[in-house]
Amino acid sequence: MNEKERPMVRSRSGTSTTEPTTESEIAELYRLMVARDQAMWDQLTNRDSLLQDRMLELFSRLLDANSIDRVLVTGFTEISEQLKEQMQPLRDLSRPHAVLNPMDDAALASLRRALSRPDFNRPTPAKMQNPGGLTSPADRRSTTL
Amino acid sequence: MIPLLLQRLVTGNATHPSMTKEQAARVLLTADPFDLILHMDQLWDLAQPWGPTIPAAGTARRALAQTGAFASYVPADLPAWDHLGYSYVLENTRIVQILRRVVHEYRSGEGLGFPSYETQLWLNATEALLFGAANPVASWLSTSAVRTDAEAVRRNAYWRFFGLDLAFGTDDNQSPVYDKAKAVNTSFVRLFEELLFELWQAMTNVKNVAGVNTSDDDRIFRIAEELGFVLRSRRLKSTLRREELAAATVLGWAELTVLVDSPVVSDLSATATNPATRLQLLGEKVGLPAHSKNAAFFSMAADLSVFLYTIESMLISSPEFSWILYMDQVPPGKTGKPIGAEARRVITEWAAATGKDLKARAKPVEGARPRLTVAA
Repeated sequence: MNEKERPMVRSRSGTSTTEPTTESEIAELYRLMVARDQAMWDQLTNRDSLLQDRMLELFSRLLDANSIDRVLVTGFTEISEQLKEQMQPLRDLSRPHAVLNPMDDAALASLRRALSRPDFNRPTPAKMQNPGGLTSPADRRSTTL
Repeated sequence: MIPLLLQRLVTGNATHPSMTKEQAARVLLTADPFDLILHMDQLWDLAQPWGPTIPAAGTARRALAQTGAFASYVPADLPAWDHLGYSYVLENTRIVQILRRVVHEYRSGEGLGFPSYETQLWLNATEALLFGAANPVASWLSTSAVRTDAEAVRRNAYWRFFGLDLAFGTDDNQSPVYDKAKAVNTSFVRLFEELLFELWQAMTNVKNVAGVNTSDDDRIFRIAEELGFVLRSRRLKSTLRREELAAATVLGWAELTVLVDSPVVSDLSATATNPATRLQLLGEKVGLPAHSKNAAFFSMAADLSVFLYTIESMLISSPEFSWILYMDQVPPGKTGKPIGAEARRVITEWAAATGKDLKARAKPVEGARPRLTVAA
């Protein structure tokens, strides 16, 4: 195929050129595309980093902190995150709770019943009347005198 | 014994309906002391201190006890009386010595005025239960010609059980004289306060789901177990149980006297809204001040009884059961309520009474590396 028969393609600069057909031309084109993407990625990363630095600086100004504080805070945050992850299995050393077997449970309930007593800090409402039962000697006397 | 009988009166039974706690208190405060002593005999028999094969009461004694006014109020659950710790903290309020002066003043003159009929009934019971007035049946008051002073007998029991004396001397501020046994639980206070500290750590972490959890169930179990061993070692072959019942009866009666505006409290114009103030006013009437921390003693007495009995029951048989001492909620499907609320009350009031901060360790654990000695 002569030069006139090769299809026209658009180059990186926008000018029309011929489409690569040989392996070396394809490899060159691939290298150029990778280099372009890499350059774009570097540019984005730099911009992101620059924005982050500016943001941190803005916060630092707001909080009146100096650069040493920023380094320390960043360092401690990383270390604490790392430690938290490493120590997670040891966070709670206590053993799991177990319920009492029926006999011990009954013994505890019996103990609580045996030692229960009225609470005199809260007086009985006045509307409750004596339903009967035992009377004190004073009560008996008051009815006979 | 008395507050527990009070609860049974409030609850009622098959032959006697329930009543309010104020009515029950009135029934007890004006009861015949003989009826109370017969009920005391019943409880001793029921507790089977020498096992099921050796009866604690003979046929005649048992039959006589059945004739008492409170015979139908035998408890369905044991223990039938409060722990000796209950008596110890209540006696530290100086209530028995104050009531002794009240009885003495009333019986020897008219300095306090004329007692009402109800107060005279109270005086009869107080002389019989607390100060050894003669009764048709010798009660289990643990005194005899060999050991005549009931207060000295109680001091001896406190010393053996807790390695502690009361916070005051005799009625006339002399050093108390009583038999100091050699076998004493000298480690009680150390173990008890260490356990309270660990329980507080656990309580503060009950709802902790994110931070470092400093509760140590294993240590709680070990201290509780050791404390249980120590306390039970003084109870071998039911030793000191008789003295414990006598002390619980005496201090239960004394507590009931100031738990409500009883006849004697009203006669002496010592009415108040709480037992600590009533006792303070009674003390001022007879010239013997109550303990300055008596509110803390009154507040923790009943809870300390529950706490110490639970420790002695050895229900905390492994670290997995330490939660019984510091949780509040009953697990689903179970009936035994954990004693977290009681333990918390004991921690607060024991700290208030002793002035020790049980919520912080007295000396922090040494974390620094020891210095190396460098040769010059």
